[in-house]
Amino acid sequence: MREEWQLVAVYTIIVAALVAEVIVGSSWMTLGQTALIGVLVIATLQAALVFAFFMFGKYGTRSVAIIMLISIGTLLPLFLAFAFSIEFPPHAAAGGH
Amino acid sequence: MAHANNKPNPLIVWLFTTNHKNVGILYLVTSLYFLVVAGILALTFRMQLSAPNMVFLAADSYNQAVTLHGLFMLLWVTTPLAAAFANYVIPIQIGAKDMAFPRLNALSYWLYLASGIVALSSFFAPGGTADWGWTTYAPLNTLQYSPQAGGSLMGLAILLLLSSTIVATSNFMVTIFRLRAPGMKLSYLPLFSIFWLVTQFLLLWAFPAFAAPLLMLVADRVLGTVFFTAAEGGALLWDHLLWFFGHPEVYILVLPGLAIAGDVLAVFSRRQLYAKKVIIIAVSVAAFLSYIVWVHHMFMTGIHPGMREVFNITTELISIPFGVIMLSYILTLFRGRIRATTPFLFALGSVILFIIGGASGVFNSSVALDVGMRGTFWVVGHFHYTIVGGGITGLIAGLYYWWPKMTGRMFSEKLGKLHFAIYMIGFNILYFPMHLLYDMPRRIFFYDATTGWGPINMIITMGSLIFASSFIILFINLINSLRHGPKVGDDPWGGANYSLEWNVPSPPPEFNFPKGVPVITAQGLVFKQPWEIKKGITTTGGQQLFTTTALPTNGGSHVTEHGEEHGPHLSPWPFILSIGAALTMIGLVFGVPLLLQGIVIFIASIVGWAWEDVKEKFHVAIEALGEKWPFDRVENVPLGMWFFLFGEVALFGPLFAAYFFVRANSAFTGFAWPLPGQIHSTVIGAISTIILLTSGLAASLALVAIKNNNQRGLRAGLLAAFILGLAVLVIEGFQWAELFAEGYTFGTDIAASIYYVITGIHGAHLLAGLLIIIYLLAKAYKGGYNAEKHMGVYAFAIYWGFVVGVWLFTFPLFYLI
Repeated sequence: MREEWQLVAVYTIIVAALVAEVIVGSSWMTLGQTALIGVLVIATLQAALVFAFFMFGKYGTRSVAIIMLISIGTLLPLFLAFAFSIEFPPHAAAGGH
Repeated sequence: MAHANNKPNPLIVWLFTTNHKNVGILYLVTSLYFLVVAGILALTFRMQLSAPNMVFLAADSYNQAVTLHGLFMLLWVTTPLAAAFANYVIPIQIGAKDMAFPRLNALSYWLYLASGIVALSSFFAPGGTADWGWTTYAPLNTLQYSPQAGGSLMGLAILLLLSSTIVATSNFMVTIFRLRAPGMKLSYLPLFSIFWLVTQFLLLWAFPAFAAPLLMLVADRVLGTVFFTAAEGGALLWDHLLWFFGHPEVYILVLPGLAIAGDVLAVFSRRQLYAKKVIIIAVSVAAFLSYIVWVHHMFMTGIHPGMREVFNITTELISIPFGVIMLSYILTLFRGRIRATTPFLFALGSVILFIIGGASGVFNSSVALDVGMRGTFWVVGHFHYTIVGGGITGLIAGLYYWWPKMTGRMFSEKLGKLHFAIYMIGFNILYFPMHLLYDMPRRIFFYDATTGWGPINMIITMGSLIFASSFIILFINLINSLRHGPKVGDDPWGGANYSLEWNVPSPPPEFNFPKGVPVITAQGLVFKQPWEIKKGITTTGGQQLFTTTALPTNGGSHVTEHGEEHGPHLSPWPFILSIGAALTMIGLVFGVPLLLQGIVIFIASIVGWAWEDVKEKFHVAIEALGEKWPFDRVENVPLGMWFFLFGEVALFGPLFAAYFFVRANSAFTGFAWPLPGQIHSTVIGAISTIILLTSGLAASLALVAIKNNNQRGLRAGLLAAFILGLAVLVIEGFQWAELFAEGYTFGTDIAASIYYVITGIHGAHLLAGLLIIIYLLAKAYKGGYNAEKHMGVYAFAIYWGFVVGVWLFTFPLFYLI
């Protein structure tokens, strides 16, 4: 398949995923937390496709992909630390914790 | 601009230089100047603390002096001093003629200087400068507690500095990875180059991560957002984001100095570094661990007890790799034929002081001890032993070590040793007694006699005066050396077998290697001509450059000039752009006229820079002739973009983390987060997303077109990407205007604040992308790209993809859930 058509195909998939994302996101009243997780999963998949094709990550060396993953991985402890901080918010006395 | 004999005016050369050695010297002079400024500030507050009931500084002045001392030492002195050496010697150590991107290198320096000037000028703002301590804790950093304009200016100055660092980091990464000489494997490099590379990885993720809370802080102070004033965000948000940067920053400060110490110890003990590969593994492990220890700075914030245990353990773990490094250094000295020169003494001093600082740090990792010692002078003593003792002492070793290389002249060993003696005496009188003040809070400016702290404080202040006086000896020695120092040859220290800089003249010529391209072969170092390398007439691989036996430093080569054509190594645009950036920052605080002037100069300089590029007026042949692992298949320009984007991940990541925190936290604070669709239209958000995705597709198709030498396809793709990108920006602008009209402004609530900051920063990225497209289009219409030469388009496609990728998360977070 020519590269142009491959890009167009990927674009179509991402747009289709966007439609699915909107549908899932709009159903938060019925789906609850599942909608939240679904939307974030779809966004992650879309971003992965953008990285692989629009950013030509798949043509780069493995090193680029590894460092990109490490860059994202360094943020994981921050998210975890924030998550554990929510349970013990010392500044939330006014909020009824 | 030029003399009659066609030689540029020296002033012009220094202002417009892009040569890595000149940039290194500029960094050196500037960072030493800021060291003096920060040192004088330290002396003023040490005078205030010297005795009970002292009245030397007013409370506000004391706070400002402490704040600026801390910020300057951390941000404008230590790392830039290391950057001075890195700029000067790393291209030579790796066997390159210059940095990968010389103009960006100059830009890094000028932005650094501009940021320092903006920071210093904040002193003269009404009400003075920032007074919240270098940690800038919330809510002290808010307008409520620090209303002075100088505080906002300081925040902007730091942002400017961060932008300088991010540019420099990408540049160093590409340089070290892709411009190494043939046969120069990463592990063959001297420790300074290796540790600097590790430091760049730390900078890559730590500094953009610091930019995120700083942007929020500046938004709070200038635009009126409520990140650190509202109960929904507040102190813990700042703490996490600051220390997530703050702890890697410790290693950013220390590693270059420690690396120099290792190199100097090896050279002056005439031995190989003991277990060099183990050192490299250890420093890599330490760098990794540095990202998972930051919460030890927050044991007293009331965080989850489980987190305290985890971070207690990770903090204790990090002492192991540093222990390994120190042990390797000591074993390097074992049975060495030691020459106790000034650089050696400072290197040894660095190791000893760092070990003392490291030992006291082990105490601090314990939650139980931390409860007692947190916020006392014990901590001040500890971190000065590590950062000043380990880091800056090592950098001074580097200053003496490379001074003859940089100037071509030797300094006085007698004065150097006198400097060392007074430095060590002053240092230990200054910082060791601080450990005895483990009951004195570090953030007070006044105490009375009943505390019993007076005598020790007096000793400490005496120590500070002795320590400061040692620097006078340093400066006298260096100035004297410049005037009267004996001239030196290529290798005054006998380090030719250790690293490449001792195989070139002192000071080195413009492109470093007059004998040809250095090649590391099985037989040692040889010099070859570029065409020989291009034809493959070389032997790569082979033994490590550094051996205990002498290598033929010019064997097999003949002395010739490269004979390659270069354009002028000068460009005015980095200098002018930094003026625009500085004026813009000052204008953001002091009013529209300055702001407009700054923006005009900024845009004009970007246009000038781009035009210089389009017309190919700046051409310095920096070829990647040798080792490029692990980035053999990624050219310099796209690789530079990739590194920049890795840093961007560290900017947007903490912003999204902040979103996650403030939103999740709202359940506990009683704040009702807006329901989906309540504030932002899902339909408009989805339309923006589709348009931006289409723009991303157009940019990618443009790249594919030019790879096939399709000029029309390139221009059409870029034009489509531009129009669609502009459409998204316009839609975003209309959305903002509409929300403002409805009274939903920056400071309405925490949800509004995080929305405006994230979409605003994304919008700024869109705007930057549009400007890049204009440049690419101009170059494309001049026929500047073809199937072989299109790396600029490739780099843009990567960038634009990233901008699209960020929006793919922004859209659902604000418009959908």
